[in-house]
Amino acid sequence: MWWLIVGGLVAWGIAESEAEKKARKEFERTRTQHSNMMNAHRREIRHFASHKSKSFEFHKLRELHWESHKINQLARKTYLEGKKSYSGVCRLLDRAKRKRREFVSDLVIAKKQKDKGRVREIEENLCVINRHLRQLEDGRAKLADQKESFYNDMISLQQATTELKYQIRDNCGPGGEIWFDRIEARNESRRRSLG
Amino acid sequence: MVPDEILEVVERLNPLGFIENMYARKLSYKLETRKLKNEMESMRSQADLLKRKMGLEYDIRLEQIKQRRAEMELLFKQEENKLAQLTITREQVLRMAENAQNSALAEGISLEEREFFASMSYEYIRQVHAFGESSRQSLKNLLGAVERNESLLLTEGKQ
Repeated sequence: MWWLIVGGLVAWGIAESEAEKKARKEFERTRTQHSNMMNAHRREIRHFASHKSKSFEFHKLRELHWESHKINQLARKTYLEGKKSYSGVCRLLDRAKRKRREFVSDLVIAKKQKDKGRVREIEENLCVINRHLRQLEDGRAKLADQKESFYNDMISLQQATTELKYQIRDNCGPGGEIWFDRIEARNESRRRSLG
Repeated sequence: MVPDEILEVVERLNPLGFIENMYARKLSYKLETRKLKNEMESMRSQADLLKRKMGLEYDIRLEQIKQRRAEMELLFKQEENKLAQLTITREQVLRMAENAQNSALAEGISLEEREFFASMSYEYIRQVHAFGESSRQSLKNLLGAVERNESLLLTEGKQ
């Protein structure tokens, strides 16, 4: 009879041992799965975050580039206007100088002819023209300063726009590189069409 | 009857304790496995949630950029119109300065007239300079708006 009890205990022991082995295997398999899954999720989230961040960086820099480009165009227009105004005043100055030369040669003739009335009249006119010339020179100097500062503004904006363009190429992945190439190609074709 | 020696051996070996240990280990493995499976499930849902949140934040930021573009387009349009108007006015005033100078340099006019037209011409030139300063102010306004926009975008980029 006791053999039966011993046999039963042994059979139970073997069955429990098998069940334990199975449970351990299952646990180990699940632990490996858990660890792999954790790493995979971490990788995936890091990749997702980096992709989104790069994409946002691209959109942000592209927006800043657009704004910088637009303002640069306006700065260029303003500079060209300043240049035109400056040339306009230079033209006025040339004309005034020509007139002064005419008055000076008239004065020489009047002095030779000893026409005192004419001499006084020309001298008074010369006075007015000289004052006008001084005023024009003052205006020209102011417009020259303005033109210079418009030019500096335009150049610094141009540099900022170019910097942004290279930042997009270098920091925004393949999207940024494609965008850069497209911009360069467009600029090149525009340059070619302008000759 | 079981002989006493065998009972002693069985008692020493304690087969029930051995089986009990195996059973406890089996249960503990099963419990740990269940715990890991639950953790995996929650990890999966947390990762999905995080990705959805990040995606949503990204969409909101892009929408903000789009809104800014619309605002900036409007501002650029306004300032462009203002600058175009200033250009026209500047050209007109420069022509007026030329006309005033033509009169100032004309033959057969009185000294007073010459003086009057010459100073009028200078006054117009000062106006041309003042218009240039207005253009500069317009550009400054735009630049200010762009810089504000830039700092906002940079702040958002760091979030």
